[in-house]
Amino acid sequence: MIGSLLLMAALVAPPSATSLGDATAQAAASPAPADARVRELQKEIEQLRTELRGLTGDIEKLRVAGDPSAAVELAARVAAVEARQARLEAELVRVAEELRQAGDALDQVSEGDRKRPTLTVYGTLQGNKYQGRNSVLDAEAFELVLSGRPHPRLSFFAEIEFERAATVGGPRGGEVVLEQAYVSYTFAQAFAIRTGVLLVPFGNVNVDHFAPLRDVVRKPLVSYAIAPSDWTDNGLEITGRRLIGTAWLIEYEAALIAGLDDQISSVGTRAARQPFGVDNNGNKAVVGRLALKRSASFETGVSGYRGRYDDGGHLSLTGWAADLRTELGPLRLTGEFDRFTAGQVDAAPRELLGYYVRASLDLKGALLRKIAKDFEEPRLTLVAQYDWARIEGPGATAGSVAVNRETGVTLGIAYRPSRQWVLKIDHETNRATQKALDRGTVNGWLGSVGFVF
Amino acid sequence: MIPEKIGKYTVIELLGRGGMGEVYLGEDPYIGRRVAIKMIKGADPDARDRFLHEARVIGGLAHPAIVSLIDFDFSGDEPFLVMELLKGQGLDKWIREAHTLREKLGILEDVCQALAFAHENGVLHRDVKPSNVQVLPNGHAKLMDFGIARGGAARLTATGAVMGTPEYMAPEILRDASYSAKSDLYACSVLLYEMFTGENPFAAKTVAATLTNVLTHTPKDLGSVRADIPEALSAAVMRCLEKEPEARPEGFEELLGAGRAALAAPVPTLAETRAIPLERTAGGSLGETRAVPGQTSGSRRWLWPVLVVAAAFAGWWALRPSPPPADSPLATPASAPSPSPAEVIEPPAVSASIETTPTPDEARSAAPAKLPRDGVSRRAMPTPTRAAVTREHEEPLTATATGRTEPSPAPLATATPFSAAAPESRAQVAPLVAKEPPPSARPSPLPEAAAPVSVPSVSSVSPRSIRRGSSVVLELRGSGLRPDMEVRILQGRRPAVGIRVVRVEYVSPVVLRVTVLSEAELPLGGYTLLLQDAAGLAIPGLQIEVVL
Repeated sequence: MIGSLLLMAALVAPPSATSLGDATAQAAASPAPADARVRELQKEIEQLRTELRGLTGDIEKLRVAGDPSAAVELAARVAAVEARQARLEAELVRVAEELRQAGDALDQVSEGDRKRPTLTVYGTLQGNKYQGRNSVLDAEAFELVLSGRPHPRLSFFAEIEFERAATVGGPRGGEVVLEQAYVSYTFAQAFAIRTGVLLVPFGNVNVDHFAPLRDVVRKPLVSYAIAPSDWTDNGLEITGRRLIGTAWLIEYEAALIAGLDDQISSVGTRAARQPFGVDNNGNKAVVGRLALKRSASFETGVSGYRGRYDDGGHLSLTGWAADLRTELGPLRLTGEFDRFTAGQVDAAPRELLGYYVRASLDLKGALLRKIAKDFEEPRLTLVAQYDWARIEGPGATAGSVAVNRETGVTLGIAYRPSRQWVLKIDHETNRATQKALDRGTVNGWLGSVGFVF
Repeated sequence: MIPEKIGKYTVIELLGRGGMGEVYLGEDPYIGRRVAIKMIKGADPDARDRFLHEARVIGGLAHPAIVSLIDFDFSGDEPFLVMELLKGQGLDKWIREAHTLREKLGILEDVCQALAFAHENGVLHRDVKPSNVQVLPNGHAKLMDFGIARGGAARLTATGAVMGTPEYMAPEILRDASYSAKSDLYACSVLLYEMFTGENPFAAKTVAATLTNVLTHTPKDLGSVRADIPEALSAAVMRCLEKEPEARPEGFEELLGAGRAALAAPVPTLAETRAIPLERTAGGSLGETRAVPGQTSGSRRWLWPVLVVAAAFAGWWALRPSPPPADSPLATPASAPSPSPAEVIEPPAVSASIETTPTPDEARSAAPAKLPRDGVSRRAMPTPTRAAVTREHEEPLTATATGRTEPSPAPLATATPFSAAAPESRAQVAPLVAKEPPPSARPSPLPEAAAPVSVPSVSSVSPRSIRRGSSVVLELRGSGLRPDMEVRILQGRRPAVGIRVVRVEYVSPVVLRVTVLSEAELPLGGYTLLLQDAAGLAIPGLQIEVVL
């Protein structure tokens, strides 16, 4: 019978509020007092159990001794135990009801939480000192990320960037950019439609453009000069994924966007990103990426771009990219190759191509854990990156060809006590021939602190 | 019309309909578990009382061979019971199919264990019959339908309205409406007789004729109807079918012992060694056994224990429902966690008896007597390992070491007043504890009820974050983890949309690897990872985070 009480206590005790990990829910309806009462009841039941053991022993003695007075006393004790048991049963019923009500309240809160948008922020403060140049402290970006799913098939994602401590209308520069803002309608796992301001699916740097998650301070040269990251545009996108077995995932994204305009030049495509809501011709560009992933340890993708870039809509710009990220134990290899070719006119470049390869070695030692007190998974990453980009276009004289090339070697470390905070220190060695595509020929030190919350 | 919802449960389909109510297949919307929902019709107060009573009775009986109660609630004014959904088929249908004797002995074991456990917890079933026993796909059986059960030790012999099924009613119920544990024992034996022979021994065309048979007809000896039924088993069943309750055994030990002996009989080594009881001594070594010198050929003495263990292991391997984890209650005692001192009193020297094995005849006659009074603690015992044998000795030896029966602290059932005669009965049993029964070839499928429940827990998960749109393998570390655990991801208390568990890989009792896939459209933020075992026990959830 006591066993049944114990079982009942177990049955009425739902997962504790703490297990739900929902602070709001806990505040709204914490069953902690009820839990405490269940524990008290269990304690009492334990006492009853002990008492019953004693009674059983006494029964045995009584049986042997055949003492009638002891029998009367024993009967009274049994009655007392039964009365306590009845009281405990009633108490358990009350506690069960309280817990049920608390559970209902939590359900309501959960439902409310599901519909509420979540806010994430990330940002970077960067400092650099290049040879022959003044040192700079740059509040590079502070970004607000809003995401939510008000309906199981409808979701939204928005990323608002405040670049360089932007002020609106003031003299101190900076900008506020809606880097991403789209709503998705998921028909099935293999097919969803996104509309709004999209991150253009081209190359792994642009797709995964969150600066604090990179192992080096600056984005790779190829993603600066060849593919103009951060590359966002208004558009319509279809996306989907399919799981192959339990480990492999194939994913596609294909978007219709305004595309790049005729500002592509011998130093890259960055200036060719159009203002939002503007298109220099009636033609829309198509861009897409097909990726194959295996858990968090491997990802490879191929991307393609095709659109017309001149005002008349006659000259095409075609590009493709291949990217890879793989982990071999503590070693992580990442790379991307991009190539664009343009229908040539005037000073527009004929071919733009480049790549980067990066090797990152994660160290997780006892010393690191000592330094990163109170953090669970501290990581120190040693990084080496090689950048190469080349843009070929018409030379200064008719029929001549000019080639602008730049390379860079970056060596650095990144210290992450958790994935939420990172300190990066890099040394760059950059070399350029002809026109500089980004830094030019210059060496320098860079540091940054990034965060994601 | 089938309701869409009963309480919080989504109704999927109607499973069955009876005079008193309906049973639906339902699903818990929060954790997705399928359940059976039993609902009574109308507002007859008696029926409602019985229904509530059934909930309380089942709620108080946690045993692997008894259907589990998950919930009891009201939908509007209508009470409903939520029970574990049992697969398989009713024993009434199962009986009509061809099955081996070994399979039937397995049913015997489960049904007797379930009833013994209920009795030890002060509950009489009062309607034992094949249709109230569900045979699961793994060959085990569960006792169901405690709708007219009676609880409470004080009421074990109380009289009441005559309810039940005529073919399985004990004669004393018809004579003076008195019902006792021996009435359940009788009904169980009718069930077993029917299972072994395919025919109910008292069934007739009319109820009146059936009742007359119950009161007057003595069935043919089971062994004469089925030649392959061992004599001891036949005798045990027939004893339980005695018209007078006083003539029946006190509990299920005799049936269980005969069943186990029948299972163990084919082991070929039994004739080679034997054990004999020691004389009662002042030291109280009544239950000790020792090897008889010269009974085993000296040159082959080492061989037989090896063969016994090997044969029994082979039997266990062939018959095991599924490979249990090392720390599971289904695991062999050798690999199970050591019992705490509070649960097992260190036995006196038993090494001599470990080496001995009774002859088949001895095993048949001795096995019932050897069994401890509580019908529960045997379930995990007959595993053919040295450790198992050692543990088998513990309770009998404990009982006799002090010269009287000590209530074992762990099995509460022994401390629960069963009846006034219980202590005496235990005392009577003690002197008969003489021999080590042969290890059963059938695996012990159910955990020892008195053993501590291994409650799984998880202390850490790594990594804690999942990148939006990616899959990740989370490594969960804890204790008592099992292969049958389900992992769910919740947002608040509700199943999260857009993040799902793709794979759960059991590595060891302390490590579980869970592959989780996050949709590209999934909102960032915190989610709760929840582990649940087959019995529905939820482990406090772990926070995981979907990140950029």
